[in-house]
Amino acid sequence: MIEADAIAVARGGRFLVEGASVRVAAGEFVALVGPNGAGKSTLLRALAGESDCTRGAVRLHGRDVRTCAPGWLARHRAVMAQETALAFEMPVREVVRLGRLPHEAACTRAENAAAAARAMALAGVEAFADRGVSSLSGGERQRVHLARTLAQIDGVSAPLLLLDEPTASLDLAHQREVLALARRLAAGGAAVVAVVHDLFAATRTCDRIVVMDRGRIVRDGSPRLALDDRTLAGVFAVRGQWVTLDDGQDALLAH
Amino acid sequence: MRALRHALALAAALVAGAAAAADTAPGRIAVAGSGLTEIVVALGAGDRLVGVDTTSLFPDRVRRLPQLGYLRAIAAEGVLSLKPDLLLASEDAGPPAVLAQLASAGLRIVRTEDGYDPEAVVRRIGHVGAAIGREAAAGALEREIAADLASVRAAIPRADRPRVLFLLAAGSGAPLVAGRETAAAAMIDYAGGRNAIDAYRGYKPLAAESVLDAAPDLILTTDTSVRALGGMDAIRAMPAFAALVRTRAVRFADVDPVYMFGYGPRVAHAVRDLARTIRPEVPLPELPDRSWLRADR
Amino acid sequence: MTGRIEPLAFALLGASLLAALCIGPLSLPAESVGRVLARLAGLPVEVDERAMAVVSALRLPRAALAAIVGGSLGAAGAVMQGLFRNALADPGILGISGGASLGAVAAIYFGAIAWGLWAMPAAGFAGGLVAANIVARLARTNGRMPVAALLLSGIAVNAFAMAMMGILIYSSDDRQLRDITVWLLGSLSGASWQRVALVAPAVAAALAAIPFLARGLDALILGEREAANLGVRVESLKRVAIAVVAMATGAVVSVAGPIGFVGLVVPHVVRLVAGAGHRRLLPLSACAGAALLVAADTLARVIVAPAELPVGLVTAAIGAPFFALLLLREKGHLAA
Repeated sequence: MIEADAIAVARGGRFLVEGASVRVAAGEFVALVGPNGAGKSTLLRALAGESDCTRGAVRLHGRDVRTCAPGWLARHRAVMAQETALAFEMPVREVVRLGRLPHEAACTRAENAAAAARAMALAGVEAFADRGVSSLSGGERQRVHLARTLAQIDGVSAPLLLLDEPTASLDLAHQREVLALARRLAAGGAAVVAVVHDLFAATRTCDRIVVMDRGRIVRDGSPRLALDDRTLAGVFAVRGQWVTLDDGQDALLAH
Repeated sequence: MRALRHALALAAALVAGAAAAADTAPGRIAVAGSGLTEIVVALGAGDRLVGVDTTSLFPDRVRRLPQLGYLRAIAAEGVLSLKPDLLLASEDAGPPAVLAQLASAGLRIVRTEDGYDPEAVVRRIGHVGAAIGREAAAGALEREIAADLASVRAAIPRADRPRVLFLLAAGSGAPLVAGRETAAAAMIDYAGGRNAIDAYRGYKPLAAESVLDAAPDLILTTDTSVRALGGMDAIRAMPAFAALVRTRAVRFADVDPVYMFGYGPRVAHAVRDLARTIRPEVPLPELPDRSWLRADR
Repeated sequence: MTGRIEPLAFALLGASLLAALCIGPLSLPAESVGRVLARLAGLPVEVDERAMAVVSALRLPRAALAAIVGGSLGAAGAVMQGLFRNALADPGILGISGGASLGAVAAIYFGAIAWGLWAMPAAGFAGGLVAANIVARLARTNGRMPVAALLLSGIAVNAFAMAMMGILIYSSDDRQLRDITVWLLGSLSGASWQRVALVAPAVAAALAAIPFLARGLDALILGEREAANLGVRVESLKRVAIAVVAMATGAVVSVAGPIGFVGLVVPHVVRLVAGAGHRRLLPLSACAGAALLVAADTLARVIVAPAELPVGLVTAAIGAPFFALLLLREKGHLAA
């Protein structure tokens, strides 16, 4: 569904991402991992069509994301940034409704309101739907923006969902919920790419791990394959121990 | 659109009515222009004034009249609310859009040319007299002022005219100095002086070096400027003048600006007083004590 | 409660317009003003001729011009605050007011006002458009106009316009100087149907474009990146917004002079009451701006009657303390 073919992104003469090729199919949940400055967010921006590739191109459903209509792109992929600061105070419900912007021409008001309501339920923000965003905690705000992102892909078949550290300010229970939600969305036909720092959470919930280091994709595969001992030592400078949890899922404990 | 056409037709009708009324003397007169106000009072029609602009300060009675606002910014409905039969407006009065509105609302407006020239005052008196139906009084006033002016003018020598620099305090900024084509320059010239600044038109902020360059013999200012600048000694001590005082004999004097630059009926006396200030040594004729000099009429 | 804001705003505008028509230095009974209005609406009623002349030739065009100027400033301010994502932005931020003022002052200086009553508005409007154009060009890099660059270019163009105006003021003669000073205070004096007709096309064109900006500006509340990800063409949104504000602000400044605080305070207050969503904020700001300026101008006309105050002084006198209050309220956020 989304494919990046040997892309490079340079800023000020320096390559932030170089020779990165990655394909994500509908139904996959991919974690993008790597140390700080590895180029994860840059790659995510390139996949989202936010930034130009110096070399190579990113295609979504076969269309170049930099040349296709912004409206079409917005109806097929949604992005959740690391942090979104509102310029003016707005109630949660209206922020989530903004996610329906690309669909406003095609859907009725009632349909859009229903989509926003479903997204708020999924992200667990219904309880404070009428409160102003500035009155919320950091974690609550992050879930509001997740809800907005979910509203954007509501009703879209085979959407692409790009999440930049979606669990950064969440407590443990919500971290698990958000990743489980992403997994369910993938199971429902979405392609999900998330930048995740927590290797335990990533290995536990994702089908596939893409490891980045110094602007390059160094490993890409199933959790056990991508995060082998050599990669853990070379890229993250940690050692790891694989454990099998109660639910039968393997997960990595890094130390 | 129909409503608009109706309003215009109505305005036209009102103008026609006003033109018919112009034959009779206007009972209610509004004035924009201090010189014109003084002329109206001097012609004995002071009791017909219903409003004056803020520059009209003489004689005392006009200060108690409703104020039309600043000469260049009078208000259309404000003027109309005084129900005048006539608006006497100097060339300086404005804004043009408001005068146009007043005219289209049917108000009779008489404009006079300004011209910073004492002799123009005489012509203006005739103009005002005709407008307010006091032709005979205007004729007498014209003759008296013309005679006063002629006798003063004959006594003022035109050779070796002293250089006069006119200083005006304006707001909080540097005081302004009068250049060419100002009321002050015209008056100074007429009274036998020479305006020390010829390099620019209008008023410009005081610059120390150009003061030295202008080499004035007299620094003339206004009583209000003296107060604003903290007294004559403070003016004398200003850097621009302190240096000047060291290099040449300079005199300092102040005048009442309403009297001196009003270009009204008091103009002959103003010229005489200014001439005396500029050249104290020259004997000038005594002028008759005219009734329009009194502030309490 | 939010549902009642629109009717309230319209009621306020209606009330201020009625007050403007009924109140003036010339006291007319409300009943005779009512008759005039009925006659103007085509009803066959008896009217007092004087009331007819005053209301139809003076008060009506003046109230209409005040509403147009206030509405434009309110809406333009809301657009600028949305575009700059900052509640302290105003229509003057892009150098448009500065450019329009320079144009009008130049018209006074070069004696263009002698050509006709349209000359000053035309020069002011042209000045505003030129300024907006220069700002947009200065700010453009690689086809994009970063907001920070727009802001800085606006400051530069404003400073340049002020400097040019200073030079004109410095070299103008006594009478021009007084005219410029009076004009810079901002006033609706001399309002006529002719002036209304002069500004109406530009303002109407600008206001007609405003509904199309609303959702884009809503998305911009999330940030430029998020707006783009929601499919908003952010750069064309900026271009259209600047063009709209330049047209509306240039037109109204050119007839009324720089009238401060309406474009800053009105959208801010409306946002507090009705929320940040631009589909409501933009029309409500236009409506409230119109109501405020019509009311302020009524005050300006009668407070020192038979003279009048420049309405810019009234809006500044109301707006400045209000602005200070706003700052006090937000000091907590600013420090954070």
